[in-house]
Amino acid sequence: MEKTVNSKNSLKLAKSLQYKQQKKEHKARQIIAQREGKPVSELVSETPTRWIFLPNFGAGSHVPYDELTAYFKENFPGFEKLTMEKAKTYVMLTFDIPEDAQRVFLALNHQFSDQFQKHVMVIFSKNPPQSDAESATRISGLHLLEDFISETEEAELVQEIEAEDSGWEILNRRRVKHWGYVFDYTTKHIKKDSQTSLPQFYFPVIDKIMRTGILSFRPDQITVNVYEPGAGIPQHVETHSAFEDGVVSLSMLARTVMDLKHPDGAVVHVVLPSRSLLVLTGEARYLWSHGINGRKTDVIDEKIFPRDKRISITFRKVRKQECSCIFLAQCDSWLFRHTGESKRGNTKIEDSFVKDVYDSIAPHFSDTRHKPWPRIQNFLSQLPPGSLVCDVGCGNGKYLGVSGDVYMLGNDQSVQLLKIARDKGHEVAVCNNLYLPFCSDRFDVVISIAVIHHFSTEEHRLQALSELVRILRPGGKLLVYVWAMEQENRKFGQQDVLVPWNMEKKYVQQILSQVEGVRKEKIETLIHSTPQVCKQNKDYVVFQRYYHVFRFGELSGLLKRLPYLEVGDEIFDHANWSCICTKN
Amino acid sequence: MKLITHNMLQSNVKGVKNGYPLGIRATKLVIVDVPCNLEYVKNILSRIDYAVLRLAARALGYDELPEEIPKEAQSNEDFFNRVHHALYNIEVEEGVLVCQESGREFNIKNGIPDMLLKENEVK
Repeated sequence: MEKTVNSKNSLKLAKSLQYKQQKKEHKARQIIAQREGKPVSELVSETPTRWIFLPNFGAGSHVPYDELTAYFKENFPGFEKLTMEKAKTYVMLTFDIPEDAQRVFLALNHQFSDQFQKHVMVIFSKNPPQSDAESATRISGLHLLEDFISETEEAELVQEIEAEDSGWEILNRRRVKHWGYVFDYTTKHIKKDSQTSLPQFYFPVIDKIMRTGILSFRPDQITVNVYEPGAGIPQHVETHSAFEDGVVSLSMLARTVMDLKHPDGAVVHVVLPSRSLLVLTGEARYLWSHGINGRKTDVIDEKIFPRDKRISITFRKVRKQECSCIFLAQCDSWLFRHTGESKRGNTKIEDSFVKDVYDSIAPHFSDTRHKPWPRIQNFLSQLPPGSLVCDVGCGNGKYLGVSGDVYMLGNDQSVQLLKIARDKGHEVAVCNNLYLPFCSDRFDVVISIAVIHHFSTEEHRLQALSELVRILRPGGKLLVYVWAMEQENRKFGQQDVLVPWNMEKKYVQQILSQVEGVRKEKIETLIHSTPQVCKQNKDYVVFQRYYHVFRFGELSGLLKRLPYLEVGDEIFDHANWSCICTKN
Repeated sequence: MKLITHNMLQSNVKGVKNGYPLGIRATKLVIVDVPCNLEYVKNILSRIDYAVLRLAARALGYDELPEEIPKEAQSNEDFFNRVHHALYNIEVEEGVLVCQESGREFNIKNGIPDMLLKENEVK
């Protein structure tokens, strides 16, 4: 009898699980159909094919392209390539034969992947991924001119270059030589005093480039790369402050495939045929990074091409003034203009890329910030009743209600976030972490969660921390969390970065209706001056938040500079470095 | 803003040597009824400035706190109920906090005191 009940139950369970999976898959198919603009029946195959849709692994899902590619390369023979496109929530996998793809289906479909911490669905596609050429045209500012020079012109240029027997710099499986100015690969800048004139043999091709009308200036710097078969070049954005808009490169000898990557993770493969000219301007030059993956062969239009020796000539114009582009997160000029700034109150960055942004995104931000992190929650719930706790930079106040028996005072610079905390019944005050309006030696506990990384100078980070210590009573505890540079899912090329926040447009009206006067004008200006994007058929406003991401040891290093403080071990938690300190 | 918060706040305006306590004026008060946890209030009493609490409560019309903490305080439930009332039940919805030394006023709007300083007020 008992047995029957059990099996009945497990049958019920299995049925409900199956139902959930079907529902999930149905939704995923709908999303694909909507994005591709075709009915499901034309896109999805019920029998195995060589191509797979992998929902929820798209650009923006925080699974890096390289990691996902490496995973399939290692675990599934016959894996050919992964196609990740901007504004798609799914990626496509291509295999040599349907049986290879079928193995992925059997191993992963409706399984939870420990590595990626995601539910995996495997859906066969009737069609191969859209051709790469088609994707390339969608990158704004990218121009690819095929057959730009004749075979004779190519041969002449190669001969001239090969005749140069000195001045080559040997890099990883490629060698480079510069004319006009020397480019320094350590500083990513040209050497200013290195100017020489360009050799005459380049003039005809420069004239030809100028006749395209794409460039508004004549290049004065040339870099030649000679790639050994299979060699590549790491992903990079040409240093903004070093070169003008318009980076031109002429491909000679073997063809190759260049990968262009958008900051949101999308990758576009661009085939660079022999004798073609690639011109990157605007977004393609300032926002997308480009590079060539080192490998022996390329698969282009279903055919395999071995990589042979390739020569590229890059033509650039050295910039005389700092860059003033709108792609601030990639712009070294912009950060240079602002990070060094010394000021008593907020710096420009702290005002424009922290305070104003949080005020603008407050309702949306708050809708995404509910769950307290367990380690912090644990720390707060163990405090004796009647403890006085100050949460400096409390945002929407997600920690203020965690423990019922303590007094918690939250504060923040963003009035809009505080209003949300206040509506939940918390005690809050508007103030600046650089000069806290609280008595010294008062609080039993001070917490600073994801705040100090928003200060743009070391002086300010230190001052903010010293204020936290000042208001703490002797014997009191300080808990600090800051964003780590060493994160698994996000890679940072530098410590001072702008991180985009995509706010759905429906929140715009909500925030504007909540503010008035100067604040409203400020937020309106900010919203109108930010780029707007469309993803999954929804419109977003993209705000940039400034972060100084911390390297391991940096947080405890700063804290150790403060007197009367015993600094605990630096611990990695939720992509943050954290420290618990005790005031002596 | 509750008076326990007022008990922590001070003026940080440039040049001010003693910005504590802040004067308090209310144009809108709300009296709420927070359940009293005696253990909690007893613990908190040692952490706050009682004289400042008493003055602030008086400024808002609550004159039921004795000048000194009673000697037999630990067993005086009535006293703790009054302290609890002053700390947690009286809320300033609209009003100002005043720096006694410089006269600088800080607005309280919707129960949120605005303690931000202007650039020229920062030390």
